[in-house]
Parts: sequence; structure tokens; C-alpha cells
Amino acid sequence: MAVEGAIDLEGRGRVAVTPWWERHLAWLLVSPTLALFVVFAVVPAFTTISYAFSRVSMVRGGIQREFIGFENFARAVADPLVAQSAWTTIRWMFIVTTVEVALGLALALLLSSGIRGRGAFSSLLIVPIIMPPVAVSVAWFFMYDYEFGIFNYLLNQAGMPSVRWLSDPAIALYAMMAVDVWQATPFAFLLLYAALLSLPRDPYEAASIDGAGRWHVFRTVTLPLLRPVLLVVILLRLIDAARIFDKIFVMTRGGPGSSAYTASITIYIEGFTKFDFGYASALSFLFQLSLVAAATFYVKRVLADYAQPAES
Amino acid sequence: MTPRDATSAATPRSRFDRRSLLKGAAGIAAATTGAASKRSAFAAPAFLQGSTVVFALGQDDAPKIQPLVDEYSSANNVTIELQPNPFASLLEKLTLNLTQATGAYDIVSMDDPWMPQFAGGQFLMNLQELMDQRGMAVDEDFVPELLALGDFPAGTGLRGIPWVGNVQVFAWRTDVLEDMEIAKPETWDDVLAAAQAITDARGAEGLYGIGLRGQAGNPAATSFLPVLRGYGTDLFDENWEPQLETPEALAAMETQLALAKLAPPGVENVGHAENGINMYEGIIAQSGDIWPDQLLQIYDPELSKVVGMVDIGGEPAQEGVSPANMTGNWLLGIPEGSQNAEAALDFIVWFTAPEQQLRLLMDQNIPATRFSVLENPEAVEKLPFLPGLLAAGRNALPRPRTPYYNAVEAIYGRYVAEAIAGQISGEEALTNANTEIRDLMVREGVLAA
Repeated sequence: MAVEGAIDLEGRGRVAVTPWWERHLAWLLVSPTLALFVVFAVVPAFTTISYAFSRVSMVRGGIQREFIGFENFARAVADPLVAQSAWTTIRWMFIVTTVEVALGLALALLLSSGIRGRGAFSSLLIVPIIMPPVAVSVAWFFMYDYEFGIFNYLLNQAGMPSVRWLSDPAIALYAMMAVDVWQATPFAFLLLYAALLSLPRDPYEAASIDGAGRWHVFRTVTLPLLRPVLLVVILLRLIDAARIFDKIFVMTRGGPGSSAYTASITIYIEGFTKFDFGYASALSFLFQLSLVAAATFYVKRVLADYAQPAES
Repeated sequence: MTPRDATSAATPRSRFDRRSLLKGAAGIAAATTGAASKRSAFAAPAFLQGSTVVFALGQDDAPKIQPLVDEYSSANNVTIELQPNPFASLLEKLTLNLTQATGAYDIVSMDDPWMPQFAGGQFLMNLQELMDQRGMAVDEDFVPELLALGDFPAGTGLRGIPWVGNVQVFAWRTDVLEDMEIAKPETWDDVLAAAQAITDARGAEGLYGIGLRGQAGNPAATSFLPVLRGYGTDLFDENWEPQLETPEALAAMETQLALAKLAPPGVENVGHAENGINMYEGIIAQSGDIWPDQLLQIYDPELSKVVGMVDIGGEPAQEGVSPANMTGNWLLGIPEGSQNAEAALDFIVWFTAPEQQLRLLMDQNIPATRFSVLENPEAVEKLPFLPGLLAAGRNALPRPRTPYYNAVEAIYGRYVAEAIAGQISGEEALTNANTEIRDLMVREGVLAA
């Protein structure tokens, strides 16, 4: 009878049994991460789902849950603030991602063209990424100040009137987007710069021999070769932008009025200002579901063309 | 729907008006004969020595009380571990820890609008019972209206002792009003007229007629409530029916929006700190939303440009409406689940004694809650507004005493902010807020659908 894990050495009937831990090494290695994932991701996720269908009250010494079916979801559908914050989040996602990826690509192209001082410049570009978002937001908050901020000072010096950067509902969201662009563009730049440096040289040499111009080379060689990385960068930035909370919360707490309430801010206020954990859980669930659905669609439809089976 | 808990059901009947507040305060004062002030030179009993008390409080207060904490710790061999938090985060942490009786904290510092939630839910120990067991009592030196804030529902026992005597006041620049020959405003119409005149005349030079808070949530709500009350209505009637769709509320909103237009640019994002800065920097000439910590800045010659130029008084009110200020006291309580309640009580009694309160006022600018400190001649000489503050405290009303006030405030505070930012009209703001607050009260079982 064959013994699991036994190896017949050289066909001479001598059998070496691999120890159990070696046979299950893969599981053993992954189990600490798995345990943490279950405790910190799976359990909270299921708790959130269960809360989403409940009215949750904090009572003495415990949490009281009352099953209310889809009532929280019905409230969410009818709540104009939810629709408004979803629209704000979508605008934020697409505008900052577009600008950050475009600027990141432009910078990557510039630096990969061999300009002088690119080492120092790329080091400088990393600085915004390593700064804490709260510190960045506080610094920009002061720069945007109506009375004492540097931007209005410069405008005034140029003979122009001061702008209510953070208190005009028509401007504030875009002013805060600029902060995100300042901090996250280097992320897009770094990934695209690394990808550009690793592109094969042959197609460029061929294009050069054919006498192709720079724009033509970019459009027909660089962009197609860069596309897989570009699409991943777009996906990562979209997901990160969708979760925006810190910068807006620090600078205007979602204001002026509620004009900069994003999905995360609305969920936070429902959960930790109103302490309506059931409703906040329903909103979280809807938000996560939307993000997962969009990301899955993107990966399957957009990135699938570039997926290659691993070499065996 | 399952029946709501007893607290929710009891809430409407235990609404906190001035009469019930005074009744409760009188009851507490009458029931007490001892003097906690005697505890100032007190050393903790031997059985408490070596214990550790965890104290959750606001982050601005922590450095101010640290010297007193160190002094108590070294004299009594009791470690007081301060856990400072920003305002919003403190409420989150207290809500989670107190309701779940985690025992993480032994002393908590609470804003008085939180008391219905924490005391009403019985998440705090009954300090009166603890004191009775130790043969201690709260003395009559506490301003009764402020002490009564810790007794919720009124008459059920003290679950918090006030240590920061915060009261919202109306403040105005005496020099500006005199220069422009404007009488001290008594009604909100007067305030608006004065604000208009000042902004028109001196706005170009950077002096505006009024300062208020327009940031969504607590800031906009807290600036609007005195105006609403000054028009003779409140957020709720005696049956907890929201009152924001009334002619008085609409008039109050119109005034608030008119005032916002006369405030310094950027009013939409102004919070507590900014409004105080605007006052002591001499940028605004009036505000109905000034608090003692800001008064202390206004009177600080190292900070303020308007020392001696600001006076305070009761909130304005329309003719025929009784003016009232608003409390925002901070109270100390002991959470259910604390394993060091005895040591915590000991510290609270010592910490709220007159000597410590006076030192906090004189050294750290923390307003007191005791007559003897607020009337102390040395303190009054340094801070001439103290008699006005005491009078305001005695005439002050708390915010509506419901465990759901945080949610109520988040709702109307957002709509008021939206109206100030021009996202919606004032009327829409009130209609929406009224509907949402009513829905909330129905969901919580306070009102019938």
C-alpha cells in the first residue's frame, strides 16, 4: 500500500517518509497571514454585513441588534446625501486619477529622456509620498488661507483679488483635489518611470531607422508597450482615490456645507457622530460592493488581455 | 419593532428645562452637607496607594492639568495615566468604551451634551452612592445650575461633577460700538443692524460686524442654537416634536444667513478655534458664540489685540423672549466597569476642590464651576469677565437633553452649514432638518410615526 509522503528511493524498496510539517509547509507558511486575515478582515466583514441588516444600539454592557431586513438599504437609496456623496466620490476618483496619471507619465517621459539632474529630481519627487497625509493637509490648509495664505498673497501681488479656496463650494473640492494630485502624482511617476526604463530598446531602434518622429514613436511604440503598467497604475489610483477621507476631513471636514462629503466621510459621520452603526454598515457594504464590482470588471475586461499564463 | 430601552422611553419625560434643572440642583445641594473642599490637603487612603487610574480627556486639557496630576501622584503614590484625545475622537472612544463597560478608563471627561447618552444609559457610576459609602459629599460651593448637569435623568443621582465651567456668551467690542455710537445689542435685530453698520463702514479695513461658525455639524449647530432660542423657540417642544418648521425658526435662520454674509470671508469653514482667533485678532466686533477658553485668550495680553475692549453678556433675544445662555461644561465621571473606582473618586474629589480649581483658572485659564473661585477677588482682578461668566452660567440652559443629541446636532448642523454655504435655501434647510430629526426620533421610539 502506498504511504502518503513516502518516496521509493531508487526503486530498491527503501522508503523515506517526509515529515508532516514538510508535507504541509505551504499551509504552515501561509497560516499566520490567514489567521490575521480571518480575524481582521473576514470577521469584521461578516459583522458589517450582519449590522447592515440591523438596527444597532449600544446598551449597557453590550450591543443590541434588531433585525430590520433591508430597511437600512432602503434609507440609503432614498437619502439624497448618499447620492450626493457618491457623485462627489466618483468625480474625485476620475479627476484626480486622470491628472495624476497624466502628470506622472509626463514626468516619467521627461526624466527617461536623459535630461540632466534626473537623479536629484526623482529623489525630490519621492518626498510627497513619504509625507503623512494629515501633515500635508495641514500645510495646504494654511497655504489656502484667505487672509494669510501664500496663494492669495501671490494673487494679490499680481493685482488679482483673493480667492476663497476652501470656503467656496464651487472651488473647494478642486482645491483639495490639487493637494491629492501633489501627493499622489509621484506614485504614478515612479511606477511608470520604472516601466519605461525596462522597455526593450529594439522597437525604438527600428522606429529610428524608419525615421519615425517622437510623437509617432510615443503613440505607436511607447504607449502600447507601457499600457499594461499604465492600466495597473490607473486601477491602483482609482481604488485609492475612492477611499479619500483624510485630506478632506482635515481641511474642511467635508465642507463648505456638505459639498465635499465623500462616501467615506458620510459613512464616518453616520457611524461615529450619529452612532448609527446599522446604517453606517449598510453604507459601507454598498460602498465596498460597488468598489469590488468595479475593480473586478476592470481586471476582467481591461487587464485580461495582458494576462499571460505563468511559465511552467 | 422591539421595545426601546427604558432610557429612551424615559427621555421625553425628563426634558431638561431650567425649572427641572434648578429643582435637581436644589435637591443635590440640600442633600449634601459636607465640604469636598476639605479634601484639598488630602492624602489618599493607604489601601489606594500604588493604584493606577486611567483618565481619558480632551487633548487640549491634558497638558494644562499635568502639573496638578503630577502633584497628586507624588503625594499619594497613585499613578494617574492621562489619555488625551481630540474632541471627536474622545466622543467615539467614550461611546465604545463606556457602553461596553470595557474598564479601559477609570475617569472620563465629558462635554455636557454627552451626559444624557452616558448618564442616561447608566454607563457611569452613581457618584453620589460612591460618596455616601465613603462618607463624602458634594458641597454647596458648586454653581447649582452647573452641578445639575451631571444628574440625568434629573433626580437619579450625580454621575458627573463639572470641572470646566464653559458657558456660551455674547461678546462685543465696546470700543467699536462706542466709536460708531451703537448701543449694546439686546435683540438679534440689533445684532444684525450693528453687524451691517460695522461691516459696511469698516469691512474694507478688515473689521467685520459679526463672527460665527459655519462648519457643518457641531460648529454650525452651536452658533445657530442661541439665535433659534433668541427667537422664542427651540429644537424640540415639550413632547420632543422638532420645531424647525416654525415661523420663529425661519426668522432665526434668515437672521443667521444675513449675519453670515457680514462675517469675515471663509465663514463656511470657521470652527471654534477660528472664531476665537477672529475675536482676539480684532477681526470681528460681535459674536454670540464665544466660550470661556476664548475669553481667556481675548484677555491674554501676549495673544490678544483687544484686551480691555471686549465685554460679555447674555445672548440677545427678540422682544418678549427671555434671553438665555447655553452651557458646554465638562464633567468628570467614573465609567461602569472601572476597576479603580475608589481611587478615581478620590482623585476627582481632590481635583475639583476650590484650591485646584483656582490654580487651574489662574495658571491654566480653565474656567471654574465654583462660586468661591469665580468670585475670588484675585481671579476677578486678573479676569474681569468672571462675574459676567458666573451670571451667564446661572442663566444658562443646556442643549436638549436627549441621548440622541449628537445625531440631532449632526443633522441640523449640516443643513445650517449647507444654507450658509449657499447649497440650499434657509427654508429648505429647516424643512429637511425637521424631517430628518423627526425620522430619527421615530426610529428611536421617542415619537410615534
